[in-house]
Amino acid sequence: MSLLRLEQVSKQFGRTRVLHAVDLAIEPGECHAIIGPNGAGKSTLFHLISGLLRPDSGQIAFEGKPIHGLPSEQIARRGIARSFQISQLFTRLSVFENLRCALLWPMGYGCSLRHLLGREKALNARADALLDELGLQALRDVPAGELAYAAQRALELGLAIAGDARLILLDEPVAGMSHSEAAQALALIRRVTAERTLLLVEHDMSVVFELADRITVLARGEVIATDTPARIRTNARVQEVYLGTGAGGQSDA
Amino acid sequence: MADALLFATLNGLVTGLLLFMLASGVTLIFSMMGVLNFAHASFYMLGAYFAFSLSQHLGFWPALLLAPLLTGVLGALVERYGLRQVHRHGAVAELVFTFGLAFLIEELVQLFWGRATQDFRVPALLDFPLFTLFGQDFPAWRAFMLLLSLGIFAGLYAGLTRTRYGLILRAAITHPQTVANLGHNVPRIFMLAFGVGTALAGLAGVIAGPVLGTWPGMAASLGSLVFVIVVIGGLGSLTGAFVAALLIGLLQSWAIASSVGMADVLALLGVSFPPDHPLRDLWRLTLPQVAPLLPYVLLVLMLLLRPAGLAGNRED
Repeated sequence: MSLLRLEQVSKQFGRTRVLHAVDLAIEPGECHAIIGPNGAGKSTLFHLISGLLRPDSGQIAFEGKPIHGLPSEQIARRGIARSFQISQLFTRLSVFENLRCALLWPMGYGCSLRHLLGREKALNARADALLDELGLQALRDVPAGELAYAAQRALELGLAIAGDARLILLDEPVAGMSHSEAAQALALIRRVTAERTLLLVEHDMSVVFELADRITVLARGEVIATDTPARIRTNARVQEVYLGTGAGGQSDA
Repeated sequence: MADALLFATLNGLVTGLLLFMLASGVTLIFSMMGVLNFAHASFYMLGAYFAFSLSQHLGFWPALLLAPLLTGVLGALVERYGLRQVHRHGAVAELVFTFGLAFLIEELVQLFWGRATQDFRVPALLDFPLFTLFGQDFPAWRAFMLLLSLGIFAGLYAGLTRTRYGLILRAAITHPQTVANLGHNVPRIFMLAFGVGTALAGLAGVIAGPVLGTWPGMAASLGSLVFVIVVIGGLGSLTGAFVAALLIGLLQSWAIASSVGMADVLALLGVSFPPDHPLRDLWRLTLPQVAPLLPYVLLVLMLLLRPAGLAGNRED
């Protein structure tokens, strides 16, 4: 059984068709990349899966159960975590507090006024362990808004993996990074998501071909191909889409 | 002179903290939901009226606890069944909704309690002068107001920085969607925050009702000041609102206590006017007379010179 399955998912904004009859199946344990020219509907697809938007029609099922139409927090609780393209960190909270916030629900701590954070030993120990894992221990008490770009992205990844989400959605995890930063970020992503299923949107083709087990190509809201990286490279329709829209410069596909 | 300054400062602090009790709720709700809640001062009025009615049956002290709770529950219900529905139709609809709510509450108050000022008095236990200095009394009630507000703020600060709810709330203030993606029920957090904010407004009403008067115009009279504070402090900044609230409280109180007038200023400049001059009323204006104007003058100046407010370099 696929971990995540989209069937005939469509979404329109007003009269603009953003996604049309999208079918997609993500298998447990794989790293699946979604690529496509600008405006192909990649981010919208993420928003639909994570519950930020609702599909106009079609089905989205996670572990065999439908999740379309559920609010974001319910989807998160079922085991899907995501990062955003634009920084969505809690800028005024410290790195440590950001991680604690991400760990509360997965570790079974609800919203409470009676419980002092300082006394939640398991929570604080797990947050510290995450800091080590992400290489952010030295920046523990720095407000997230004051971090350098690469550290911000690392923390974002930390928020996404903090829980025990089975499926992690990463929206352009290395966008805007220098070559060496991107290489470090990739190593980090590999390390911390080793046991999980990963779905990512990424513009940088070298990243996609290095990381992904399978690739889905979206163009103008429709799935053109889903295949292994090697076969995507030689797929005639994919080449046509990339060259045809003039977006080929971004890729070495 | 020193005694007048001391009393003016104490009274200014009491007023400032009272104003902050309202402004903090408006600020919190604005930063989370992006709604400027014009009905916030109406909950302050409801707090006073609830306490007045409850105190007739139960005595003042139970009313001090129950009236804010009742106000907070009402606030939470307004968020859950009012604002949350209106939210889908955009920011303007929300703003108009809070305006309408303010008028509705004012009319309802008049319907139930009438137009006259209610005989809501300071409880006998605290109805005595705490100390007398230079022949002037400082009422124990004002000292109680001062201590209670300080206690509440200390509690709120601890709650925000030390508890799980506080952590989630601080996170949700800037990025509600991320908080939802981490599995937290954001609408419920908003409802609770709205409830706490309106409960604080209710508490302010309970302690201010006996001194500032419990009457249908009390919401409007304080509400406009609260907005001046929120804007001067910088929309969405709690620290800014705190500084602005104290500033306005002290400024008004000092102005009222002073005896400086236009005539003194003119005399300093060596100008004098005959007593039958056609504009004589203008030359005789005193600072206490213009005290109510000062917050609005400050508001206009602030918007002209530093539109973002005192703490208004909003991050992110």
